[in-house]
Parts: sequence; C-alpha cells; structure tokens
Amino acid sequence: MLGGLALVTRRQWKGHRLRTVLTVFGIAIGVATYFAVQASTFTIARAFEKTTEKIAGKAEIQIFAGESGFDEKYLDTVRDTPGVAIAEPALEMVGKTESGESLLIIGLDTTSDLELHSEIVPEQLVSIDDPLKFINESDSIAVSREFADRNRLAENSVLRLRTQSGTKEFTVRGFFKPVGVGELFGGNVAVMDIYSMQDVFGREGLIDRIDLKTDDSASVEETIGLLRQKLPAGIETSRPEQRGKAMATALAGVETGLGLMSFLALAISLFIVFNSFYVSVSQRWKEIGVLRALGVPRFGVQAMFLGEAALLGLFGSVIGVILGYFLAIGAIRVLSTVSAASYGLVTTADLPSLDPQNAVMAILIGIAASVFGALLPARRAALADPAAALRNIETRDRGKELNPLRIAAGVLSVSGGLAFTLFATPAVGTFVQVGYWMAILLGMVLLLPVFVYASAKMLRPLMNRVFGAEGMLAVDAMARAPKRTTATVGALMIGLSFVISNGALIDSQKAALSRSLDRSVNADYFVTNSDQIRSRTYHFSEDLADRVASVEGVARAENLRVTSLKYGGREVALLAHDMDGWLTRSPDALDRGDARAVRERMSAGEGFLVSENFALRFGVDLGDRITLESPGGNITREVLGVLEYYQSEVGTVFLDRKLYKQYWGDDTLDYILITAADGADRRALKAGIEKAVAGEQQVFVYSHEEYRNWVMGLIDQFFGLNYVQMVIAIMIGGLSLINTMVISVSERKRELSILRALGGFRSQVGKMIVLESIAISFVGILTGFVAGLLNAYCTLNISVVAVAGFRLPFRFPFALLLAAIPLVVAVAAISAWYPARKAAALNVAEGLVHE
Amino acid sequence: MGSESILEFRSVSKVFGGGGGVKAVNDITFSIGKGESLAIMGPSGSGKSTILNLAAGLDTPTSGSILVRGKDISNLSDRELTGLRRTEIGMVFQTFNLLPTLTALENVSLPLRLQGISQKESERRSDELLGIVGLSERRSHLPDEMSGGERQRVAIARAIVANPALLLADEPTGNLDTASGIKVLETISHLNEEYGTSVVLVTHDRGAASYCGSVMTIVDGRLGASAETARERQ
Ligand SMILES: Nc1ncnc2c1ncn2[C@@H]1O[C@H](COP(=O)(O)OP(=O)(O)OP(=O)(O)O)[C@@H](O)[C@H]1O
Ligand SMILES: [Mg+2]
Repeated sequence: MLGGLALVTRRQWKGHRLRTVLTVFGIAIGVATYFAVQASTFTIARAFEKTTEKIAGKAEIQIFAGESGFDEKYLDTVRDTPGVAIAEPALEMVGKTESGESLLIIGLDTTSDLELHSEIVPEQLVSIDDPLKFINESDSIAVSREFADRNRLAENSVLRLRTQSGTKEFTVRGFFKPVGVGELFGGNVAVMDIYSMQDVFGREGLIDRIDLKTDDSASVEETIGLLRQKLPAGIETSRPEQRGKAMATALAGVETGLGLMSFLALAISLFIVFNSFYVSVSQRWKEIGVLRALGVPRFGVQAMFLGEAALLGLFGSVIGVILGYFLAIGAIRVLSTVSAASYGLVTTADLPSLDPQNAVMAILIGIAASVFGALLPARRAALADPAAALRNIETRDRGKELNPLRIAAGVLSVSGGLAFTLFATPAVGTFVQVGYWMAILLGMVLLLPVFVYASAKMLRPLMNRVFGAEGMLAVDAMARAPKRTTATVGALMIGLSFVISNGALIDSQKAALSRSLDRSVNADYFVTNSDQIRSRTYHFSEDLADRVASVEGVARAENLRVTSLKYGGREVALLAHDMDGWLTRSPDALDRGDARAVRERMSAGEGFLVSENFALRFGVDLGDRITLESPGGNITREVLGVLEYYQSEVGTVFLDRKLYKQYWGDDTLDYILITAADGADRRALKAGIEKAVAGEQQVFVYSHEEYRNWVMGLIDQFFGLNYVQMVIAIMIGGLSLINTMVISVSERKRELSILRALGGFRSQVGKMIVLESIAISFVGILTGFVAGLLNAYCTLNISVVAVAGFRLPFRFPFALLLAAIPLVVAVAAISAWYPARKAAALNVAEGLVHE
Repeated sequence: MGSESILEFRSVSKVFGGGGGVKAVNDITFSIGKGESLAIMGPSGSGKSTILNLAAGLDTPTSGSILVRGKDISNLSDRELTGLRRTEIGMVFQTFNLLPTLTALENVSLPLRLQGISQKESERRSDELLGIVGLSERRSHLPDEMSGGERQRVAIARAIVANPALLLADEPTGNLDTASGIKVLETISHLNEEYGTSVVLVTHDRGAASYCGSVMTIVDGRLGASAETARERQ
C-alpha cells in the first residue's frame, strides 16, 4: 500500500513542481538560518577558547585582576604557595606602528627560562644576539619574523610605537618565529622584558597575569583553592579554559538575538510548509476521497502526507545546511566585528567549523518543522469524508475559520499575555516571562482570520475605488480562501512583528540613552581613548588629563576610568568618576537619592552609586551597604544613589576616583569630560584640546553632539542584524506569497476564465493577481504592526527587564514601519509576477469548464 | 430581418491535439444576420460548444474563416479578440458562471467596469438591465441567495449589458427546471425581438430550439439538417 501511496505522491510533486520547490526552499531558508547561527556561534566560541589556550601556553592556572593589573608582590605569595611548581608573570600592552598596525607586546621575565611561555617564543626559534644587552637596555624588543619582514626591521632597527604613555622608540634586538599566540594575531606580536616594560609604560610594580604550573604534590583544583584563600578577592584564580568561556559569554546577548532570528526563520518555514500542505490537501481532495474509497485507512492518508513532509523536510534541510554554511561565513564576520567593536575581543576565526553534530541537529529540526507544519493539513485529509470530496472546500471551511471558540481563545490568549505583562512584577533573569509574548503571538495567530475578514471589509471599497473591479475582485479572492490567505499573512505577521519589536527596542534604547546622555553625561566635550564601547586596550595618563585641563577655555575637566569587576558572580561595569565634578555638573543625575545632598559624601569616598539594573538584579536598595572586591581588598560602602544607566546589561557601580586609585592602584583613565568656560570660543577650545592630546596613540575628541551621534551610531551598528532579520522575514514572506498566489490562480481558473470571456484583458487578470498579493501583504503588514506593537510592549516591559534590568521608555519605530511598507508591497508585487503571468496565459475555453 | 451579417462561418474546421487529433468541428459554414436567432442542436460531443468558443474568439479555427460583422477574426491578436468580446459579443453558460462574491448588480456591471466605465454609470445601466430581466428587487443579492433561473437571468443581463450585437448562449437552460427554463428563453427572445440582438443558442431541447428563427443540427462536427422552426412557420 505504501508503495502505491508513494507513487501518488511522486506524481503530485511532478505535477506541482513549483510548489514542491518553494516548500523545499522554505524549509531550506529556515534550516540555513538555524544552522548558520549554530555554526557561527560555535565557531566563535571555539576561537575564543583557542585564543585563550594559546595565550595561556602551558599554564594550568592563570591569575589576573581585570584590566588594571595587580601588584607584583603577589608573585611571591603565589610562588610560596605549596603545590605551585613554576609561576611566571606577564604584562600585555598594545602599541600602534606609524602605519597604524596594532602590535601586541607581551612582557615576560626574560631572565627566567620561559618554560611556560615556550609556546609563544620557543627556544629554538628565538634568535637574540646579545641576551645580556637585551635585558639591560630597557628599549629592547623582540619581534616576530613576519612583523619584522613586513616593516623592514633588521637587528638594531628603531621601531617607533605609539603607546598610552606617548610615542616611544624601541630597538629591535631579537626575532622569533611565533607559534602559539603569534599565529592568532597575524604575527603582530612582540616580546619585551617585563621589567623594562613596566618602566617604559609607567606601570612600575604592576603585572597583568601570573601563569603557573603545579607540581605533583597537589591537584590543580586544590592549588586553585589555596591560591584563592591567599590572594585578595579582587584577584581571580582560574583555569585558562574558564577565561575563554567567560570571553564567549560576553557575546551571549548577540547570540540570543541570533537565536531568536533562527527561531523566527524556522517558525516561518513552518508556515510555508503548512501553507503548501494545506493547498496540497485541497487540490488532492478528490484523490483523497478516491484513496479512502479504495480502502486506504485514515492513518494511511495521514502517513502519506507526513511521509511526504518528512522527505521534503530532508531535502530542504540538506540544502539548508549547505546554504547555512555560506551564511555562517557572513555571520562569523558580523560576530567578530561585533565582538571586536563592542567587547574588544579579537579572534581570527574565518571559516565556520563544520561540526557534524550541528549539521545533523539542523537536519532533524528541519524535518521536524516540516512534519509539524504538515500535521494539521494531514489530519484534515485523514478525517475527510470520502463522500464530501466533490464539495467545494473553500466555502465549507469558512465557517470553521471564524469559529467563535477560536476567536475567544485568541482574544483570551492576547489579553492574558498583556495582562501578565501589565500586572506581573518583572524580575531580573526570569525567562518564564518571555512566555507572555508567546501567548500574545499565539493569540494573534488564532485571530488571523478575523483580521483577514476585517481588512477585506475595509479594503474592498477602497480597492474598488482605486483599482476598479479588479481591485474589488482581488480582495474578494483573498477573503474567500481564509486558510490560503492566513498562512501567508501569518508568515508575514511573525516576521514583521519581530522586526518591528526589535526596531522599537532600538528606538527605545536610543531614547533612553539620549535622556541619560543629557542628564548625566552632559559634558561639553569628551576626550576618549577608544572608538569602541568596551574595548579599552589603552588608557590615558593623568599627565594628559592635566594638559587637557589647562587648555584655555576649559572650566573643568573630570577624569573617568571605565572598567569592570566581579560582583555576585557577574561582570559589572565600574565607573570611577571625579564625583565632585560630576555631581556638580549633573545635579539631576540621580533617580533615587539627591545628587546635591550626597555630593560631598560621594567625593569623600563614603559611598557608591549604582545603576537601576544593578539594584534590580542584585536586590540592592538605596541606603543598603554593599561590598566590592578589589585587588587592594574588600570595600564596603553605603549606596547613596540609584540612577538609570546603560553601560552594562548586568549593572554599573560608580565610585569616586580617589577611592578607586587607592584600592586598585591604577591611576589611568579612559575619559576626560570637559566643561567649557562661559563664553569660551568653542572652536578654539576644541582646537586647543586637540593640540594638547596630539601624539597620543589613540584619542578621540567629541563635542556633546558628536558624542551623542557616535553612541547612537554604535547602537545602530550593533543592531544591524535587525535589518538582516527584516530581509529574511520579507524574503520568506515573499516565498510564501508566491506559493499562495500560484495556488490562488490554480484554484480560480474558472473565475479567471469568466473574466476573460466577459472581455477582461490578460493584463487585467494579471493585475488582479498582483492586487490580491498586495492585499494579502497589506494584511500581513497590518497584523505584523499590531503583533509587533504588542510584542514590543512586552519586550520592553518584560524581556528587557528580565535580561538587562533596564527600564526603557516606549518608542514605536515609525520610520522602520514606513520603510517596511513599500518594501513588503514591492516584494508582494514581485512575488505575484509569475502567478500573474500564469493567470494571464490561461486557456479560457478550458478554464470555463474547469471544476 | 436585417440583411447585415453579424456572424459568418466559412468552411471552419477545428482540430484538437495536432495532426491525428479530434476533429471537433468539420467544415462548417453558416451565417446569421442582424436580429436573427439560430439554435444549434446535436448530440453530446458533436462540437456545439467548440463552435461558440470559436465565435467568441476564445479559440482559433484550424482552417476556414470566421467573420464578425463582416470582419475576419481568425487572425486577430488576443487583445483584439478580447476587445471584440467587450463590444460585440455576450456569453451565457450552462453553469451560469456568476462570480460568487459579487452581488447581482456587481455581476451585471462587471463587463462595463472592466472596460473602464465608472462604477456609477455601470451600475445605472446594470440596474436598467436587471429591470428588463425582471430582477430589480434582487440587485443586492449574492448568487448563493438566488434560484437557478434567477441566476441565469442575471447572467443574461451581464451578457448584454455592453449592448453586444451577438449573444452566444451555451445550453442556458440545461441546469434549470422547465418553468425557469421557459422564463430564461422568454427573456432571450424578448431581447432578440425588442433590441435586435442576434442570438446563437446551443441546446439539446427541441422546445428551447423552437424559440429561435432557425435550427442547425451538428453531428460529429459536421452540419446536419437545417430546419425551420415553429416560430418561422407562424
Ligand atoms: N480543449 C480540447 N482539447 C481536446 N479535445 C477537445 C477540447 N475541447 C473539446 N474537445 C473535443 O471536441 C469534441 C467537441 O466538444 P464540444 O465540447 O464542442 O461538444 P458539445 O457538442 O458541446 O458537447 P456537449 O453537448 O456535451 O456540451 C469532443 O469530442 C471533445 O472531446
Ligand atoms: Mg457543450
């Protein structure tokens, strides 16, 4: 029996090649997106692990303290710890050559035998002519062969580098062929003696890292435990792999976005399969009747459709994995850019790693989505009354679609989701709340037929007036086949709702940031050391700050250090502000607490300020005392103020710079915030600042407006993915439309022929098909708009709070919607092109007798 | 009546499916003048519908020529043929072929609207025609809400709303009971007599044929006996 059914199925595929191809392609796009996301995040994570592995070399344990480094005295503490066999210090800095190339300089104790770092500079590959001179002269540097060749550096060549302590000259006194970490940075690696390096870079007594190996007397875990006891809490001890993992989790936000995107693509694939199979069942109604009459049992019919779906799913998924591989190449590029721009994590991953497990998983998911999409249509086919096969399905189904039960369920689901959003108190980190918008979306899907009818009612007179009888008939055709229409409308709705809610999120974040910039980051000029949000490989010195402060027209210059620390197991942002200056300049900076009242206590180092999301996440209230761990020991202070601040999704703590310097032993800074004197000539002021900072390795001077634009630009860049998502959503919507319109034409051959017999031109029939497609896309936009609005409301009130603890003002992305409308309509018109041609070319005489 | 020829077939043949295919119409010659009416009779599959499709320009003859108002249509483009259907030819079918989502009034005005005539003007004229076929009070009803006879009369109104010279009706009473059928035939002959619309009526039914001025019988695509009808004899 199955063989017979398979034959029937094969005939169907041949007879409806386009539909089959579209279905396969629909699955392929979903699977491709899913696979690309999986493969790229997997590849990036692996690249991070590899990077840290190579940097770690042979070290079993690494000790570090954020980017400010820590006192080298702890090296002795470590070496004295039982179980530690070798412990070697390291410093890392980045310099820039005159041609703008970045060079990673690693400071090592060159007097030791470098056993742990033989990965970086393998002994046999190092050539240093005069080791003694190398150590004694503090300007000695050894560079990789590649770097030397590229920059034409020979023994004793002078290498000029711009560093955070100004431009420095080094003398090349050695070369090495890098194996480990050097490979990662394209060979842009140099090695210096660590003590010379402290000297040159003004980091006396500081080290960034201790790499160590244990002896046989204790396990690695035991040694870690022991070290943690002996070292202050602000200094971290862990295995190198864990650092790689920590780097990778920094990308979690972007990955969540990508994950949502693949979910979206799969959901739309599901709609396409549903659409195709619904149509297939409708077209094969008679065949089903005949099969049933011939004694094929219900489950046989169902199995035939589901088997067909599984097979199409398999084809589509395999194609999807192949497409996905290429998509992953692009995704990796985006991910690396985002990770470099926003987090300063550099990787050199270029090609996606093809993990067979990922591929198999993607294929299984594709098949499952396909079978799931075909489930309802297959059930409908199985339940068909063989005798009813001759009746018209469209009119018969209509009642069911507007079933009051379904409408009630839809209304309930939407209002339930909204009620929860409104009345449940959001808490940080509870992802259950994301279920609210799922409920809303589900409700919207249930209500789709209502939307289709309502829109048809509204559109009919309009289209009649604008496009004549063809417009009216197009709307009628759309409303008459609710299933055919709703499947496509659903695909468009889901896609657009994501795009619109993401757009709302972006606009709201911008609005929030803009408010924050005006209220608490309201300096006239900003001098900063990075064109990236979180990457700060290079910091300013106080000297520079003093130079800037003395520029004519500067009323006040505040120094700000932006760094991070571990709090409650999470990485929170730490802002060391010149509190007196800041709170004077921004008297309204605080949402809770009075800036004027706490200014003196804050600048005396008697308290902390925290961001609202920090307060929410860690359950901290105004007046509570919290403890921060620093390399100089624990600091406990009262929380004197709370403010909305968007530096970190985890939370931000503010303290006075003096307190920071005392506990972190770090007097570098990242921002100089300048208040202009009254009546100062702005142009002269900026020129003066630029002159004062000239010669710095990396420096950016922005006016308030420029700074705002720069921050907004970064957000746009970060959310560039939203446009990719929009393109995918609209593309899949287009596929679904082609499918639907081909069906519409084949189901309405008779009607189209009548039109031709009554004197309708081919072009008029074609126009009608295009108009139907546009009408459907219009309903898709409308429902996508409504669902997007609800989704955005939910996202802002629940998800953003749940993930980041931010409370953002609601902004609707009208610009995005306005951009989406012509785009969707254009895609709808293009999608209808082939079906319209088909309709125009119909044989009228045959069509008139078509059933 | 008038001597002007409205439709003329000159040795028309139509073969389906290439060389050795079915010869659905085989060397047919006839003509009808203005205001005349012709019934075509014949067994199933004899080629009656094919003749109507050829006359309406929905199909092209394999050989011979077809003249509408003296103009040869065998070599016209699709667009010109469509234009011909707009102005010269109205069609009525056995299965009514009304558009199910349109009201009676909208159905009748559809051909005018496709010609770009304003909705207001189209509907004014359609109202008039619904009056002529006796269905004024049904103007806002959907096809589903009307009887078969009423639907066919709406279809007739639609066929002649653009004032064509020729009405082609393919078994318009085939799906109707006798009483409704008679009403439909009376409507058609009323139009024929009152407005001088030439009529070609395909039917199986002798009674129906008797409403026409002459009868032509087709057997296997060939012309059979042609006879005068009761009406002629009167
Ligand atoms: N498109 C076509 N392709 C092939 N053969 C066709 C086509 N249309 C009609 N025929 C054949 O041409 C012959 C005449 O068909 P036609 O429909 O004109 O007959 P008819 O007289 O109208 O019959 P009925 O009374 O059943 O309506 C038949 O043998 C039919 O099978
Ligand atoms: Mg026929």
